[in-house]
Amino acid sequence: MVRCLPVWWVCLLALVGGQALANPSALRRSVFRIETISQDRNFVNPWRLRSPDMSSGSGFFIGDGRILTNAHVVSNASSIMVQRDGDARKVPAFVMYIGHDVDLAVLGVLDDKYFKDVEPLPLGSVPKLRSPVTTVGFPMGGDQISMTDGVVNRISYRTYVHTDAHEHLLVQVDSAINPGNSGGPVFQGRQVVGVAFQALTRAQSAGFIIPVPVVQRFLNDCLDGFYDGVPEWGVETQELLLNNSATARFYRVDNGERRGVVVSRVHEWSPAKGVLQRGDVLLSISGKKIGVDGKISFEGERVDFEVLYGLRLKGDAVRFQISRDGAVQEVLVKAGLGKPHQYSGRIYAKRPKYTVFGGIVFTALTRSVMELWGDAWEKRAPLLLRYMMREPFEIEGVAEREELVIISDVLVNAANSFVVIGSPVVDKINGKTVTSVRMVHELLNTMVEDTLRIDFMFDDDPWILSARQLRVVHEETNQRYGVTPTFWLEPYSVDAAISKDEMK
Amino acid sequence: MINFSKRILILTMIGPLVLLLSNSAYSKVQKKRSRSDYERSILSLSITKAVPDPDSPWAIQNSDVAGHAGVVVADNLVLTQASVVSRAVYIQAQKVDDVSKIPMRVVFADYEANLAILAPVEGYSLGQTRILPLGPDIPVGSDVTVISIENERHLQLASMRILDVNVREATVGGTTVPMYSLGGQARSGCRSDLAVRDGLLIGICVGVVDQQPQIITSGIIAHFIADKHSADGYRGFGSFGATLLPVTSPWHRKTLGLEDGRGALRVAVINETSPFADCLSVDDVVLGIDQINVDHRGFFMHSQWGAVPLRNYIVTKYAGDPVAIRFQRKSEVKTCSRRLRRYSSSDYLVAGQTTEGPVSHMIFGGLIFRELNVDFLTMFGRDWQNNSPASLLFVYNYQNKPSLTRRREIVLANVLGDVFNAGYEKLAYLILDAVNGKRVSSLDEMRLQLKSGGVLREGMEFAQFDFKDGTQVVLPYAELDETHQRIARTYAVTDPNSFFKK
Repeated sequence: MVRCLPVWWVCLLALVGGQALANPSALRRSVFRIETISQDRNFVNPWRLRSPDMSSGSGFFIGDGRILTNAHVVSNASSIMVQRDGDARKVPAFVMYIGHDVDLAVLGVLDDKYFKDVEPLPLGSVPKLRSPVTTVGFPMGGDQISMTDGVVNRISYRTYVHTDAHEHLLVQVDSAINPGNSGGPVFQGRQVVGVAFQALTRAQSAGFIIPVPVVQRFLNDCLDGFYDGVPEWGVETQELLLNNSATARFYRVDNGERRGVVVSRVHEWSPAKGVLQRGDVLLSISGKKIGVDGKISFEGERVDFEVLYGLRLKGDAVRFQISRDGAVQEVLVKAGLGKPHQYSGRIYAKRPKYTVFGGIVFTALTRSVMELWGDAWEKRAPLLLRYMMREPFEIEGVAEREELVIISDVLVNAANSFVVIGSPVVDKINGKTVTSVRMVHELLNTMVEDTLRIDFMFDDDPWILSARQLRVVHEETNQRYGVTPTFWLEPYSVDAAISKDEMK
Repeated sequence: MINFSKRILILTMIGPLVLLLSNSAYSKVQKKRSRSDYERSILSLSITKAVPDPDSPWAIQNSDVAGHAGVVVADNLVLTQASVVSRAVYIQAQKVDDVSKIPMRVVFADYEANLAILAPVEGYSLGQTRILPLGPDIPVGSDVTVISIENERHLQLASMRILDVNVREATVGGTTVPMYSLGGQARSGCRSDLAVRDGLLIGICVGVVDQQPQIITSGIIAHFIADKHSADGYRGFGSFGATLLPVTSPWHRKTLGLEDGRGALRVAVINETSPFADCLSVDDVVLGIDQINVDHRGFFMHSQWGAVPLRNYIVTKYAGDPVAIRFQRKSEVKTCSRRLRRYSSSDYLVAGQTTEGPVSHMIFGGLIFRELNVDFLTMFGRDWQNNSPASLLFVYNYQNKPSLTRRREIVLANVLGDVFNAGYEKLAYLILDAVNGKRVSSLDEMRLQLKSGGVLREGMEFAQFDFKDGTQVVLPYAELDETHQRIARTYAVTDPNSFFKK
């Protein structure tokens, strides 16, 4: 299997000469080196941070005091410094907006005059197949700017590895990849046609860039001062069925045109719930015909129809032509945000959600927790957890929960020393089904019972503890183990990256 | 020739005698024995198997020949592991000092206890052999010798030590039996290797866990042999049908009325197949079984192994044996006596391995449907517990409960691509939810449901398959026969019974 490089190994590619880059000496002044000191979260003891780590990336000026870069360059940052090409000064920066789902971030600096004489780089369009591009940035191993030539060899819809949960449009180029240059611009002529951000580990010269439509959508999303995120779809479809004339007859569609995909599931949380239903045939999106393979024509290429939905902003109405029981009709789906990636995507937050009670550490099951088993967690982690992570909606009783709560650790004391963690996924507390870490926190801190009973999913061995004893040892345990704060319940949208307020 | 029952009777009479002698002043250090002491007792078995092709269940894979060990336990009777002779089409036995190979047959096997008895086919004899008597159960810490057959001709002796006794499945999905875990120089695999000590058979190896060979104990072997000999016919190993767990939390003990430190096991699960299903409930606490009391960990004192889990007592019982349970419910002590039911992996949602006959399957328009069982899962290789699709493993590990109706999950195994099923050819490993709108719990039910008529749409009758992940397959009944004929030719499906017939 071909895997993408971990995002911090991504680099920028640069071309020298040719038609890909016009007037390189003028454009390079708008490209920045970004140095970051970051601290990853500890997902077992969430009040702790891991050791600081220093890394570097690239970015470029887009006007109005803003530098565009990758989210992974500045994630979990406690310090960000930017440095212009040819300038020895390093200037502190802060995160204005960050979109982990699209791996993009906008940085600002406190010194308004820093960008004097710097030209914003204009955004272009999606480059054509086989067209030359130049990637520019600051690969690790030297402070000098680097430029590499390449050619566009694929435009597709794939997973962005920063969260490893979101799929978007991306462009593959055949330039070599060097660590550390993520976030740099990719040029065609004088225009930026993408942002370099990830690469394949087992393919030579295969780099990926975030194309302009995704970048532009991100910038548009930030215009109201808050980044909402890419709308979730929450609809599963079956492709290629309508190649089969008998199946087309069953769904009462004419398969002479070879178009349409069949809706196989609409999740409860989907913005399309109540609009689309199982068995509907999606014929077009925003006027673009959907082929039997689920592809549409976009910028001269055939890409998954979800690309178009993902480029809409929260609240936008997306028009579909559907066939339901043979009747063709138009429906509108209001693009909205869902919840599934609280389960499946990597979390970048000030802290993971958690609460500690009597030494028992409750936190949410997230992709970041799973990575405690390493990159190969899908093989190594306990089956129950990896199945819940990958297919949460296949398990009865999971879909309606805001998140799955696990016990990540037990800080041993006299009231809990006998417990053994089997299945760590909490099902009920004192008979009440647990739907979030916040609910656990509230239940534990308001309970009046003498007994605390914790039931676990797919485990027949509940914990029965003395609530009174746990309350007695609570403070002392927190002091002994350095638990502070004793809970954190902020949503994940409170980002980890350093903000302007924190710099002051 | 002595008949099977008589020979076993002699053996079972010798067994307890050996056990009694050995229990007095037992030494953990074994007496020195040489390879020649075992050469007349341990035979090389050459076993040719015909195993169904996992991707084409109507066909047989290339026949596979493997070498294993067997031990002479009575005149012309050889004990080995059942799993090594399952689906065997030809078995030969050979003494290490003899060039002749004797054709053998399976006289009797309990595939769930993973033990089998072989004998020469009619007209053949093993010739001069020496019976290796069954030894007693022996203490943890004892030295044993593990004997394997190398290159089909040489006995390889390895000194090992019993590190622990655990109750484990004798085979995947099989009955649970006590096993010795051995420490020492282990081979990468040890199936059918024999553990001996002081000229006695101590056990037979069924696999390696954490680099430690796992040995079915001589007590279980004696139980298996004696049961075959019993006047009632083979009854098999009894099953309690419940999950009993120790209560470690003092507060939990208090809520269950166990403040006085009494030993007890909490009933965590009671299966509907359990003989005690009508008298035990979840959160009852079992205080003891028959004359056995459990301690606070749920252990009892075994004469050789010390404190071991109560399951070690249950496995000494035969199916049909009466067992009396003393249990406490809301501070009141009660008793309940029932006869144990035979353990059967067929009771479970995911049945154990099939050991003979064709693999059940059904082809509908190129879609191959199979029942989810251990056969299906093990087609994903030795590391199937990691390599099988997670959705199937989840069923096996978390939804695999026994039922009196013997329900099954049906899986779309794969699709034999054809113009008839165009658009569905990439589907595989999907769990079926309903056929023509109705849930089915076996292939037979599925056939009936398909025969009872499909969904009418646009003047055509369709078979509608709905899968648990939301996937839907709709294919017409029309042209099914022609399609099946074409698929049979294209994919060499030789068994016409593989196909659905309306």
